[in-house]
Amino acid sequence: MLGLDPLYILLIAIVVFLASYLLVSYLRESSTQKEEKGKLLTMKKCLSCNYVLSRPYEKEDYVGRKEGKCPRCSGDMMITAIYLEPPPQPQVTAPS
Amino acid sequence: MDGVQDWTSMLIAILILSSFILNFTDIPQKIQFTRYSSVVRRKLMELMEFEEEGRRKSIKYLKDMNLNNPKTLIDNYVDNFFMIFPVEREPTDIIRRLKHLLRTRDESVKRYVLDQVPNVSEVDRQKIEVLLELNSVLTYINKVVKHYYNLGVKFNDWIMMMQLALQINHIVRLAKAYKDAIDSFGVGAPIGDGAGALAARMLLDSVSAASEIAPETVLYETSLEGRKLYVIKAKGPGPTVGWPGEALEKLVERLECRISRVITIDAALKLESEKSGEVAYGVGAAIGDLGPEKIAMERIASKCSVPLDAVVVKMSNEEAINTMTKQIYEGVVRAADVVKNIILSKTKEGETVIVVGVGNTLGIE
Repeated sequence: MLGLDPLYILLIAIVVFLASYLLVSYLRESSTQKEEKGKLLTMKKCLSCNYVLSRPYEKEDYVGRKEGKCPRCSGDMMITAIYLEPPPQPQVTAPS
Repeated sequence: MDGVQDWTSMLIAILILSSFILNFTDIPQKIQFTRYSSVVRRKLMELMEFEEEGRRKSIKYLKDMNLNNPKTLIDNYVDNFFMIFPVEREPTDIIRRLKHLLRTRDESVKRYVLDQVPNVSEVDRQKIEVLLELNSVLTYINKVVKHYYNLGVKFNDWIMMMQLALQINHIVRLAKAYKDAIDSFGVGAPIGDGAGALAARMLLDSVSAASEIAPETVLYETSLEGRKLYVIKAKGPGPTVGWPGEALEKLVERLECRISRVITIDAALKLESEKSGEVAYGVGAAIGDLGPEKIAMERIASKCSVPLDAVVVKMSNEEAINTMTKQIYEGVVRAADVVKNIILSKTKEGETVIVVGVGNTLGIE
């Protein structure tokens, strides 16, 4: 093939392999994945009828804070949970 | 054919020469040293970026709290306020000495913040303390890595450099968690470590009134299907862990040991194979302090011969110091159910149970 000695080919193959290995490991190292953090939600619960509402977190929210009236029974509502809802995962379709 | 023979002899010569170089010179180690030190150098840059970013974010959050000189406040804090651990060779009263030193340090940090920002609210003061602590940790991590890197370079110590290069990813991961925690504490929503406090909060009804039983620690009284329930947790919604051991000690003494059970709930570090939010229960004091609070719980439980239960919600180090995820929250709901089951199945109506929700109570009243 092109009149090249097999040893030449072997040496070239080794050099190409090493160079691509170094390049791939460098690229893998330097690639930074952008993280999606998700949405911070506040859950409110009615103290009379247990009706639950969720809304985006606001700065002064804390668990145990009484806030507003229940839209169903007009009872007092209290913040019962604040957590980070994970971002939606990309749908993976099963191969047919 | 002659060409091939020449190549073969050359290859053999190269192999012999490389074998000599590999076995009888330091060249491979020098090459490894260069490679490992370049890895560490790159990661060190990342750590320095984390430190600077953390500092920038903290200054922003502190400015939002109307602080005039946040940079000076942080700069004067990061290298100071260390604590020298008590002598361990003579263990007599070591817990008392450790507790004393911890309290002294806590007080001096509190005094420092109040001196710099006199009219700050309690919640903001606690937030400032945590932000200062996080900046201090980031600076410390950076300094330690730089120390070993510089030592390795100074003495051409390739083993030290290799160890550092192999561990650096774990260190960077930890530093990133601390850097991200600045945002979580700045925002003020509950963090993963608040699992115990939140689970304890779930046992309360809306009318439970709180009273301060120990510094930054509150006591609630409620009931569950005929059982009298005392719930202890740190005083929220500021970022504090309180003194749950001291609070338990005081309460049990006040009740003259007339209790049936003590249940502790806390966040626990998970193993890599475990899922976040897994709940497990066992025996003992579920608390990850340096010693004084845990031993106080163990001592009072053994003094009164009361069973001491532990319920834990598992999570990673990163999850523990960052905003609570839905997965952890679901674990907290399960943990509260486990506690209720323990109370209902292991105590009778009319008996008294103490539940201690351990952990940072940021965003949880």
